[in-house]
Amino acid sequence: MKPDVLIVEDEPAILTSLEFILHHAGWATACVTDGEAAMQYIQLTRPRAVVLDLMLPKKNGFEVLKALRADPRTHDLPILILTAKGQQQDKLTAMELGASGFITKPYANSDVVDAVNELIGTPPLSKKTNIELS
Amino acid sequence: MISGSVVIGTSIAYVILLFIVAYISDLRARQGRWKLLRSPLIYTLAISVYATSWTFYGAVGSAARNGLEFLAIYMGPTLVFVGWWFGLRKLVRIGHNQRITSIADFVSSRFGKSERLAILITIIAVIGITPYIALQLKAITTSLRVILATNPNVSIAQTGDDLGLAFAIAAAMALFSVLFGTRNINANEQHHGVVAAIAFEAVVKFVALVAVGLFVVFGIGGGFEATFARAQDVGISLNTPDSFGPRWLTITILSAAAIICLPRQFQTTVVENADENHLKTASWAFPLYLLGMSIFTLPIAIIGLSVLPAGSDPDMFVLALPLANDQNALALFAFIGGFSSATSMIIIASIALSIMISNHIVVPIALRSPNLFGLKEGQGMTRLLLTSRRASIAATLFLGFVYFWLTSGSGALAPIGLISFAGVAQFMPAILAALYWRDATANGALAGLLTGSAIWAYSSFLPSFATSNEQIAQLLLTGPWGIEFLRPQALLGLDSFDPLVQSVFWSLLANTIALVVVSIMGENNAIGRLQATLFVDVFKQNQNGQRGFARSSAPLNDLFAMTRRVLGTERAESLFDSFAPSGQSRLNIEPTPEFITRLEKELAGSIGAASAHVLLGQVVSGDTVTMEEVMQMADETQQILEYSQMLEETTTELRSTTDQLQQANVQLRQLDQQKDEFLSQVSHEVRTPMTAIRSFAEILLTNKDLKPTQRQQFVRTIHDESMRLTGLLEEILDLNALERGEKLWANEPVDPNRALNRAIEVCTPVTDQHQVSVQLGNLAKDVRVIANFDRICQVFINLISNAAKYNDAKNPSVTISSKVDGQHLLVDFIDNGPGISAADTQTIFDKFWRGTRNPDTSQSGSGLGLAISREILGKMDGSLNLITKKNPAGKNEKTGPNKSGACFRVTLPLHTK
Amino acid sequence: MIGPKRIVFLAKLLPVIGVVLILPPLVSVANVDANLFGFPAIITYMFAVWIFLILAAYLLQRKLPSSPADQSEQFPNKSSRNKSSGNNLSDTNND
Repeated sequence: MKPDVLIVEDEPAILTSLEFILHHAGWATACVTDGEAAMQYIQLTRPRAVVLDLMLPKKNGFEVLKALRADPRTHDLPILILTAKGQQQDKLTAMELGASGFITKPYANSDVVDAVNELIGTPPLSKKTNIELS
Repeated sequence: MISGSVVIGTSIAYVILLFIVAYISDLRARQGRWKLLRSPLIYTLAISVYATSWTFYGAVGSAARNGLEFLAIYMGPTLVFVGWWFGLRKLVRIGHNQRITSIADFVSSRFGKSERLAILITIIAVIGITPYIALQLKAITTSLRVILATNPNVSIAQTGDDLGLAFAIAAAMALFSVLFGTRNINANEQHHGVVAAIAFEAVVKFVALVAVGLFVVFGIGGGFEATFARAQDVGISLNTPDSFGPRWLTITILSAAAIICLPRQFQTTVVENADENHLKTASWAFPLYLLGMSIFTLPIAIIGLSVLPAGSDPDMFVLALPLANDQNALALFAFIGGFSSATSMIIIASIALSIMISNHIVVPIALRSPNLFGLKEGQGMTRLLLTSRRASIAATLFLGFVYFWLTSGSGALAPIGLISFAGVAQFMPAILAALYWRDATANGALAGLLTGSAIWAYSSFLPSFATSNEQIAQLLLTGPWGIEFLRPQALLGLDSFDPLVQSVFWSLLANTIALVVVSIMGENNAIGRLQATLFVDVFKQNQNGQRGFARSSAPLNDLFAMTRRVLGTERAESLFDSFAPSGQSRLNIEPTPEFITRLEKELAGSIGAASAHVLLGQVVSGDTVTMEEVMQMADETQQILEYSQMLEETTTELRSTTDQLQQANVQLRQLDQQKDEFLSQVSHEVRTPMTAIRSFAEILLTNKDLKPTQRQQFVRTIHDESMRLTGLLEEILDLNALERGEKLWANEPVDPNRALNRAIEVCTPVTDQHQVSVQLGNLAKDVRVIANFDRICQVFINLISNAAKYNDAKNPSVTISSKVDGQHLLVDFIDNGPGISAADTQTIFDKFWRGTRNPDTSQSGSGLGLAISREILGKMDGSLNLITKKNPAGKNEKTGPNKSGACFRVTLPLHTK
Repeated sequence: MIGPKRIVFLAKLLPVIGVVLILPPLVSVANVDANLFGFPAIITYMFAVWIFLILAAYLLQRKLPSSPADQSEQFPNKSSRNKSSGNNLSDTNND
């Protein structure tokens, strides 16, 4: 099944939590832990949105963002940036590169869910996948 | 054939012409139309008074006798003028600032306004110039005789003997000088008229000499080349090896000194200078004038020797050559040229000397004993000045005549001139010291002048009388009381040298030594120090030399009365009026220090600096200026100078401090940036576990229906992340403490192998988790290192766990070996992991650096481990390095995916028993 | 272009050059029995040095900075000087 949201995050604990809350919000999710994997995955499966960490092995978040925006096929793919650095400069850079949203760690779970909802609409199967995960 | 009456008539007509020129110039000056009169051209021509009849007639004689030697007379002045920026400019600037009236005034002014010095210089100048004036008299007399001798109708009886002729000429010149030099002292003490007349004469003598030269070279000699071709035949040897020996050097030095020290040259160059910038023109135009005057000297000498009968006086070739060729008009013109060169010198020299005599000898005496000279209030000193100057001029010329008489007018012109040069050259050390040596003192100058002039008088001046005085001739031969050592022209028995060279050498040497030694032994008094500063540092002052009386409470009436006494009522009134505020009476003038200073300068312009100072001091402070005031003045100046020096030093210090500050600032900025980066990284490192904790906490809070296992898992994650956070904080604090240099432990002998075993033991969970096998290679046995056991364990643990965590090999392993190298123990940690890329070898020890993460392994490292390890080892005088492995034959081992791996080397100092 | 500092330096150097040129040993080089440009070599040499010095002085003085206006020009009685030279007090130093 085609996932709704691709989570790109290298910290296992955070990845787990993101997966849980988005799943719980009703979205089908997929996970990768580095930039190159993210690129490959997106080309193959075309998720509806991407939650992208900036500090990533192999290819960092900015590079992924840039590459996606340069590609006409993923030109308008909604991308939500996550960062632990929280510097104004990073946010500006991300926005310039065409990020759809920007969230600073640590975040409230609802912020992430709301942001994803705003990008791709209300999930069709609310709360359903939650059970599957568990 | 020229009749006597024509010659006399022409001469008189010429003198009348001079009068007219002088008169018109004075008139124009009075009307304020002195643009031409104050031009650099007139200034340069006035300086050309240097070329006297010695140049006009004597140079040819000199060339006929001594070849090129005559050129040295012009080389000195040329060098001084082309180097005007160095010396003359300073001289002229001081002359303006200090309102200098003569060379005696200059020297005395510099050395604390010393009256004694002024008097001494005046006397030396008078004695020194006397031969020079005699030289002019001789030139005119001789030339007159030459031009009249061609006339068979004029017998010796008619022309009279030389003495009478010379006396008549001296008297006539005295008259002229008195009439012009002191004609208008009441109204205006300028010499525009005289200067204009001198400039006019400079043109006349130049044109006359060039005319004769052209006639001789092209009319008789057949061009320059043909003329010079005759040189050998007539015995003028241009290429004697001696040409440029000591005599050449001596005359060059003498003439360089003379162009400044001769009172008339000082008068025209410094005193009559209207604008400092005129020196610019003079710097090249005056040497050019001299060049023009010298071009024909040698040709005339050569032709004269070859054409005129043997035994002719070479000094008179300029006149004799046209006469011998029946060029009467040219001869007359040449005579007038010689006449003008002689008269211009006599006029200026006598005026310059008379100023010195009246200002430095007569006035000081008159000031001390007013009754003697019948000075009355309001009558003014002008009459006294006028009378004394007239008398001085007459006396000077009379002295010249006496010298002429005593020396019987014998000898060539040039040697007589050189005696004068050597005399006035005695001023040179004092002048140079005045300009450039702050510590030269009045006593030093006095001693130098006395010594130098005494030697000059004995070795140069005295011998010139030998021809007319038996005793002196005897003295020259045998020395005083038969002591050969002291023969005037062979001092210390050195008779192989030229007498002139000897005299100049000994006199100037003794002069300089006396000046230096006495100056060093003594000290300048207050006013001397002040004046020394004003002279030596003249270009450092933005204003006129500021000096003044400390008090300005002088009653205006007294000042006015005193000024009237010196300048006369009319001039005193106009002077005071010029100071009065517009539209007000001169009685409203504030006697400010500036006013007093200005007044002193005005007075100095009339009676010399020393006299003016004494005079004004009497009025201003009721008595002579008190020593305290002088000291105060001098000290203030000194303080200002010291203050400005301090300021300069402070400025330099400030500049270097600013530089240091800027460097520090740059470093601070860098540190600040590093701190920012560090904080940003710390923030990132903290945020990551915080995010997980918060997120899971929220999940736990909002999802009440979680399964127990799920809940359990999330709580454990929260716990783990909290632990990670704590560890991170501890490491940061640890690193911070290490970096700040806080030594938290004591180093002691430690068994490295025991520490290694402990570390491996501690790491067992990690290595087991990653299935990394720890292998021990060769270990150095029975060694002790200087370290701390716990800390060295920490380093080893860090290295082993790194090797385990980042090892993605199929069969991950880490090999540990150690060996002794000199005073150190080397412990190597070699893994078969991915290795460190070349780009990372530089940054691997930076804070928060982390190896490329293996997504399958969870990293709990903070990125501070290597940085901390390095710091720890640094504190133990050891080090931690990444070793680049060299494979044999330069080949990389490419067995399997695990390339070469990484090798960390710990270096520890050995404990030696 | 040559800077003003260099000009001043050259102005100070010029007399030194002159001294070196007219004194032995340099002058002895020209002091030989030979003709140069139709004149005895030593004559040509001396006058060439002389002309060089004059030319150099001429060129230098055009570049050298002018002195500030004569201080005596700035005295308060400037107007009286032009009115009547008899009252001119600034130039009484000329005697």
